[in-house]
Amino acid sequence: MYISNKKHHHIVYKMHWHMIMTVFLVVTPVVFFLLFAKMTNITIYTLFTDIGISLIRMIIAFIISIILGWGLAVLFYHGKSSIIALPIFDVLQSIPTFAALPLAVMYWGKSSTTVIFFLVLAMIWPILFSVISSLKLIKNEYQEAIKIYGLKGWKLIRYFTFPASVPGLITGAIVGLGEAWEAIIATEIIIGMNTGLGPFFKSFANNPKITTFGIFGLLMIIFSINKIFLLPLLDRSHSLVEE
Amino acid sequence: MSTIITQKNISKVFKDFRGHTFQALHDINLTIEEGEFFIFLGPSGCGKSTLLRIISGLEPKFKGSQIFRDDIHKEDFSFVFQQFALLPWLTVEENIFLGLQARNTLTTDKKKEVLELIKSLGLEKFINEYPKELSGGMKQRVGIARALAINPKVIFLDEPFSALDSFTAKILREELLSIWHERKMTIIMVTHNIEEAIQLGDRIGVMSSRPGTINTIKINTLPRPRELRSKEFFEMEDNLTKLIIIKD
Repeated sequence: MYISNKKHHHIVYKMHWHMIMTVFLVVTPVVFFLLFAKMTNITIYTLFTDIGISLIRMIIAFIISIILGWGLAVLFYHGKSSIIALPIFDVLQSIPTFAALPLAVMYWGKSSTTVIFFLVLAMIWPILFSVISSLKLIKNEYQEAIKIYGLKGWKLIRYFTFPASVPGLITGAIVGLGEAWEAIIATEIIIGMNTGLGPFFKSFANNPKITTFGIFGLLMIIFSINKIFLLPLLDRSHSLVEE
Repeated sequence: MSTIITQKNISKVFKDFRGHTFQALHDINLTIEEGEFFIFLGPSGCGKSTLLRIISGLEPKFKGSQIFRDDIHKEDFSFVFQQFALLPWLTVEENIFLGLQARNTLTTDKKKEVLELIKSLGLEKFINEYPKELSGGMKQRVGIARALAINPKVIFLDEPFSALDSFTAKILREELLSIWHERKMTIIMVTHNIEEAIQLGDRIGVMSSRPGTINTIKINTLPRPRELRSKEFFEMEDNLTKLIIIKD
């Protein structure tokens, strides 16, 4: 059974299959972690608190990176400002971020702010450069069409800049999130956070079984997020810019 | 009829990334009269599209002067593109209303008027479709509807039928003529199709390339509707062909 939104002409649900897959992708990691907690004698509260806190840090950093990365890309992707801004962005993204870790700890201490700061540094560059790439690939005829009809300000963003940048935004978000998963564990361990996935893995560093199952569980969460949210968004965004 | 656009000594030089220059247009002098159907005719690369972009304001950098009649403003211009230039993420309806949205002139009355236009162009069944779901002919109908929706005084058309099959192009040429008769706006169009130029134009500016110049402006006195297989039509076609071949 198909539920189709005629206006947007996309199949939203292939109902049964989609429902089964969504439930499977949400339930499986949860069940896995419940069994994992039981097998390893870790309390469910500790396990889900560590996962939850790291996820919240990721979500906050993701939202900041999306807003900042997209905004900077839209401001500086073309014109005279891009001649100065793009080389600066390129240099900034090449700076080894962990070199600045002691400075950040000195400033914010062993806090979630420090972790989020480093996650933003990991995510913002792929988002920014992907959005810039999307905007630079806009056909000249589209630019001429919006010029002739005088699209400006908020309407320019609503009808033109945002939709044209969405494929780059989603691609950048996927790459950025990939880098952020790596960064979050490392940052939480290095700065010595008390909660989160980093301290979880650190506290079981001498137990290969728990570490292996923990990594497997983490991969299940990443897979579910990609499968439920990111990949469908990527498909949809590319279909929107097809001529 | 009165002159709405006057161009004096228009020249345009392009520079590539290596710094090499290319003179696209040289010393163009031209007037456009209100309500006329003016055609730029010439081979590929003669600068006719560049000239159209200069007049429409899409190409702001050029040498020479361009004067518009006092009551003609940028907002009175509309453009139909060769490759349609419909925004792929907007539906047909959203594309057509784009100009009105941009200018904050989308009133209920105006919406009714544009919906009538959509009907007259046979697009009413497709208003919720996306451009990729339409044929080339339908896409260009949307392009024409979008251009007409803002009630322009001047419409620029850049080879609007060259991406279409000959049957669709023929139908759309007739529809364009009928819209022009009804609305009495000024049309400035670029084409490399001689038959199309004779069928549509009041005056035909024949251009040659390297650098792009207007060799001659032919006044087309054939009575409308034009009989495409008449002796006079063929004679004019031969004359224009010779002009283009000799001068290019």
